[in-house]
Amino acid sequence: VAQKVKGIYYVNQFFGQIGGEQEANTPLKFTQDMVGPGNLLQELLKDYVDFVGTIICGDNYFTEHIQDVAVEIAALLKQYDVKVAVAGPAFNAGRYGIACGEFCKIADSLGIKAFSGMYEGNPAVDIYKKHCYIVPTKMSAQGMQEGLSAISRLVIKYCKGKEFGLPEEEGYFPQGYRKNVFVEKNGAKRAVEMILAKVKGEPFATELPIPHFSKVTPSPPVKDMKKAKIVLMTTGGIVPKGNPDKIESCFATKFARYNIKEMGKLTALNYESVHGGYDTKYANEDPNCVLPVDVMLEMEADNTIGKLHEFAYVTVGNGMSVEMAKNIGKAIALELKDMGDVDGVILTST
Amino acid sequence: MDGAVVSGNCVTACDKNTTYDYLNHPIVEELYEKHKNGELDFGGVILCPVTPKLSEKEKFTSYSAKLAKMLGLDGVIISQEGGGNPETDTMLLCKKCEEMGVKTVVMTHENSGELGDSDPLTYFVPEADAIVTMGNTNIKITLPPMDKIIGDIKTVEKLSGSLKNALKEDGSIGVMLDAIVGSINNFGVSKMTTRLY
Repeated sequence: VAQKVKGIYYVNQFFGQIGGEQEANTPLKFTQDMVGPGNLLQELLKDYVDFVGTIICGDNYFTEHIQDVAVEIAALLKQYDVKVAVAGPAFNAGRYGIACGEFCKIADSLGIKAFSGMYEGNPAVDIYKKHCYIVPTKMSAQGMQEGLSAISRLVIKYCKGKEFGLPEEEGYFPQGYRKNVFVEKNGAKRAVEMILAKVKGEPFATELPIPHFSKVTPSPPVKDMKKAKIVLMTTGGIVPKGNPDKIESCFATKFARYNIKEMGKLTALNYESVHGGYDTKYANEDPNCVLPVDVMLEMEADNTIGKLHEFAYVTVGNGMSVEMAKNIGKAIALELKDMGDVDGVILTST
Repeated sequence: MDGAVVSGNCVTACDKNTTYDYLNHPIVEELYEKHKNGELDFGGVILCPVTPKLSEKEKFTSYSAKLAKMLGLDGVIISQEGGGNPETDTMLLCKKCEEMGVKTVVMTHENSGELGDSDPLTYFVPEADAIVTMGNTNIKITLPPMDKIIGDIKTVEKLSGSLKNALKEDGSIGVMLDAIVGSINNFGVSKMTTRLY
């Protein structure tokens, strides 16, 4: 028999046998006993996990004091040095779902494997699925035994050191990671089979469900361009010669800002393109064709615009994931906001 | 298939179609195979140019979709070359074909990020309900040391998709799939795909 690992269990005030809605303001507490459904959980996992106890917290207290509760939970997880954390199941309960998910997220951030169970419509599934393994359950506590059994199957698999297979095979909600795998047929054969099925009206399964794209609400127009301070920005990879910040030519992970006014004009002598996704010959000959500092300086001189900001922001938009682009965009936007006097941005792409 | 169409590519290597792939085009081969068996009637190949201009994107995709309709096709498989720009054309073509009643399957690569948790493409249309994915280009892999190296190995650090300190002391090389020619080829050469975990 493999050595057992230490675990911890989270429930709300109801399943923690303190009381119903009237006790939802109960502050977080820890007991070294297994409480309520915890007894069944310990029984199911008796050969694999030793639970050090149960954390109980009122649903309202948890969601209203989320930062304080997080500190207390993290302290307990560290104090008892657990390897496995189980919460719920929360079924279709909204606040309890958030509490279970948050508990799992804290555990995950400490490198502790976390497990919970929820009804598919519980909003916490989408919020926390990345941080833990959430098994699908019924809507109510009728599904307790089934839910705990499903959680236990995953915990046992983890304790045995086995890799988890596909979500639909293992019985957990997809966590949102697309992994490369090899299948029996090449892409061409799969495509021909798919089009035949689609034309015949037979069922087929797309390999890439269409993702939901967030829409960006445009800012209101600049009121008076003659007074506006404008920032130039590009994803075209125009950097000072030698690429001092080592911005990657593909899958860039960073951006940089350069004082374009200090250097005078952009020329082939002082700037270059490090973009790895287009032919950089012309951009290297005249970097202004990607980052139009020359035209902007003319517009500043004849007061078409108020002022060209001395800093230009640069990154490389080649193969960059949307997530990375979002992060870089947010970071740049924060810097601009901090400056406080930026009225508009011209963003050039390639 | 006789060399009249050859590869004319640059930069990012993974999602490119080599001349070999044109000469041994797996979709064309598969369609001929099914044609021979009587499972389908292979209508031909439509080449749709890709340019960066939006007006031309609209024009070329409209003409290609119209041609598909005029040929009386029930379905088309849309594959592409490269990423970024062509993703828009592919999706526009898919939308226009579907609007004309020609059913589509789209073949694509993904840029889903290192962990595979990012949006895979820059542009999607709701009509693209049948997609074959050839894999995520953003995955890091390690190539084992080789006994014989042809060419200047140092250039591996300059490739699109190269990593910092790519050359390890033991001779192995760290790269993203992106740097390997044809690794995510959209003609469907490989047996790779992605699954949601």
